[in-house]
Amino acid sequence: MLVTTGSITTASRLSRALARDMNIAARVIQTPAQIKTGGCTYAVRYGESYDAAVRSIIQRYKLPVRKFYRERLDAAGRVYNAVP
Amino acid sequence: MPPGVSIMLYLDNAATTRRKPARVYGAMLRYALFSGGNAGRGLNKLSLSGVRVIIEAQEAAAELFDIPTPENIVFTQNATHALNLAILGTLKKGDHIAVTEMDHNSVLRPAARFGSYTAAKADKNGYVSPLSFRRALKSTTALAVSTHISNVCGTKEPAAKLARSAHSAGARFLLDASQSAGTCDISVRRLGCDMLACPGHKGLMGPMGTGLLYIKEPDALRPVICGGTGSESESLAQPVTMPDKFHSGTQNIPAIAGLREGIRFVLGEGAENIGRHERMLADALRERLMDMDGIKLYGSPDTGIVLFNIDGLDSAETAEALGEDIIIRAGYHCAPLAHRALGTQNGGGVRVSFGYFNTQNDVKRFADAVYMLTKYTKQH
Repeated sequence: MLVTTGSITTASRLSRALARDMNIAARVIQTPAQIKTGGCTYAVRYGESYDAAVRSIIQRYKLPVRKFYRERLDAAGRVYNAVP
Repeated sequence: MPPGVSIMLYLDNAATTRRKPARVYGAMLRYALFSGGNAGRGLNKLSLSGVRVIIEAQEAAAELFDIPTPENIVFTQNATHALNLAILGTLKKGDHIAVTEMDHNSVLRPAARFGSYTAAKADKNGYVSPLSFRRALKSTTALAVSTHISNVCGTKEPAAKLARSAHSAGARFLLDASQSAGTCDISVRRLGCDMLACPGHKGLMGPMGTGLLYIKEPDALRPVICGGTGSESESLAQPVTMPDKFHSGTQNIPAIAGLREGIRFVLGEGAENIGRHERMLADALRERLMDMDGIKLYGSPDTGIVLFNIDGLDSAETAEALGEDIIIRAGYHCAPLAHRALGTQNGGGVRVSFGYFNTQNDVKRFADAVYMLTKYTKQH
C-alpha cells in the first residue's frame, strides 16, 4: 500500500509515528512516476495488513495525507490503484 | 587569580542565555560533522536526518507548550522573525492591531508600519489589565498581541485574560513568549493562544539564530517569504502543508538540533523549576538593593528580571561604572513605550536578568558592586 503526502515532513512524521506507536515499519519514498502529479512529492509504503493501523495513526495525529493506493506487480511492472 | 583579572559576571539572560547545556553544543557539532544534509531535499539519508531533526524539535516544543499539533510549529531566525511573520501574515488592508505598551519593538515596529494600531496602557509597574486591553480592541481588530513577561522589568501579564478579551472582540491572540518560554509553564490551550512566538536562544537554551512560531490555524496566516520547500515543486503556488508553508529555503538544521536539545534540557529540569530559581535570585537581589540608599526599583517581582536606577546616575553611566566584567543591559531595551509606562523614559533603566546557571554568589557580587557605586556616587 502507498499513501501520498504533500511534504517529506508529513511522510516522515507518519513513518515515525507508525514505528513508535505501532511498531510498524513503513518506508518514505518518492511518489512513483505513475501516480505523481508533479515533482517532489512523497509517499509512505506499508504492508496491506497494516492499512487500518496506518489510517488510525493518520487520524490520531491529523496528518494531511492525499491518496491511498493499492500496489501490485504485473508483467508491465508496478501498478497502482487508488482506493478510498 | 592574577592581579587585574576578574571573572566575568553574566547577568544578561534576557538578551540571551550565554551558557547553554553541553548537549546543545554536542548536537550542533554532531549534525555539522556527521550529517549536514539539507532537510527535505530528496530522500538521501542525510536529508532525512535533517527532516528528523525538525520533527524532533517540533515534538519537543509541542510537549513544552502543550501544543496538540507539532507540525504547526515553524522555526524562525529569532522571535522578531516569528512575530513579524505572525503580524504581517495576518493583517490585511483596513485591519487594526492591538498591542500593549509593554511590547518590544519587534511587535511595535511591524504594528506601526501597518498604520492602524492601539497600544493598551500599562500601569506604573508594567501591568496591563484586561480592562486596559479591552479598551485597545476595536471591531476591526484582526490581531491582538501581548508580551507574556516584560523584557524591561519582568512584570508578568495576565495572558489568559488578555486572550479571552481578544477573542470576545473577534480578534486572534498572539503571545510574545520571548521572556517566558522555558521559565514558566506555558500551555497554549489553557492560555488560549492562537499564535505563540519565542526565541530559541533565551529560556529554551538553544543557539542564537533560532526562534519559533506556533500557529493554531495555519490556513489563516499568509507566508511572508515564499520559495523552495522541497515539496510540490511542480507548482508555482506556495505549499499549504505544514511546516513547508513557512519553511522556504534551507533551514538552519545544526542550530535547530541545538534548540531541540535545549528544549529537552528544559523539559528535564522543568520550566517552572528554572523560573523559580531565577525568581529566587532576583528576589535576593531586590532585597539587597532595597537596603541601599538612592536605589529605585521598577516592575513587579514576578520573574528573574530586576530593573533599577541609582539616584543621580543615568542608566548607561551605572552600567559603565560597574565595569566591563559585569554584563548587564542599560538603556531602553528596545521597548520605548514600556519605559514611558514605568516612568524611566528619561535615561532608561539598568536591567539585571538572571539565568538558570547563576548562583547566590552572583547576587552577592553584583549587589556589593552596586553598593560600592552608590557610596562612591554619594561622596562625589
